[in-house]
Amino acid sequence: MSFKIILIVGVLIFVVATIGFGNDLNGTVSFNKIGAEDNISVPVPDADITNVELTESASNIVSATITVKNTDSVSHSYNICVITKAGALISDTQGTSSDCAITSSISSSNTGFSVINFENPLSASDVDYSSISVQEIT
Amino acid sequence: MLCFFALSILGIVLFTGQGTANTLNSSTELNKLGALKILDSTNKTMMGMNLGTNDAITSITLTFKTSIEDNTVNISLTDSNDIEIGAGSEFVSPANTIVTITLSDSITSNERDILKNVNISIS
Repeated sequence: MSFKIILIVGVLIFVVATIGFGNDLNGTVSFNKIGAEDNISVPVPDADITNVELTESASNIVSATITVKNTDSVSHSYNICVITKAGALISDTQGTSSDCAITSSISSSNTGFSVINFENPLSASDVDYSSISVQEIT
Repeated sequence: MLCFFALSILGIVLFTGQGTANTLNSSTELNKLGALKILDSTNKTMMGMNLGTNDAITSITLTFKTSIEDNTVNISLTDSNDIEIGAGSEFVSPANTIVTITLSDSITSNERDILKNVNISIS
């Protein structure tokens, strides 16, 4: 009798353990599938990019000034990152924190800007591509 | 026997508790992230792009390093799926480094949130 109970409990433990650990927990490849809640979209920041300006110094593009408008009803500051390409040259091949700069706190409906100084100055005649990201941080 | 049974139950509770009790919610503020890519194939080096501060974009002012003369500057605005949501072109004459393009297909307030790519070309 006791052997049967041990067997039943053993099977029960085996079943639970199998369900808990035996099954793959891989999800399908999609952005932000986190745990039990499918956060399937990345919310856009409450900001519009209003102006992009590259600065030239000694025939090189050395920095970018990005202006954003806070479209929310409360103040925010934003972390703005820029990577620019000129032919084979990239403004920063290492991906350092210098690619990003944080705006001051921008009140509702107002604009603010960040100046991103390039790690590698780019030839002014070859600049052909820029990638800008804006992250709402506060 | 009872001890074994109790430990088994405890083990089951521990395993299932770890799997279901902890929440994995992330902060709603964590991922507010937007991006804009600018492709300039004019060979004139775009130094500035003013999209304006209105909710909608009806015109865009571009500043180039090299002046443009008797050419048409085209601009195409697309979303993340490369679907065009705005476009315009402007014939430049006489020579100028500043070109204001009034969009024939303007960007609405809602479209501004999904604007991901700006393609500038010359013809």
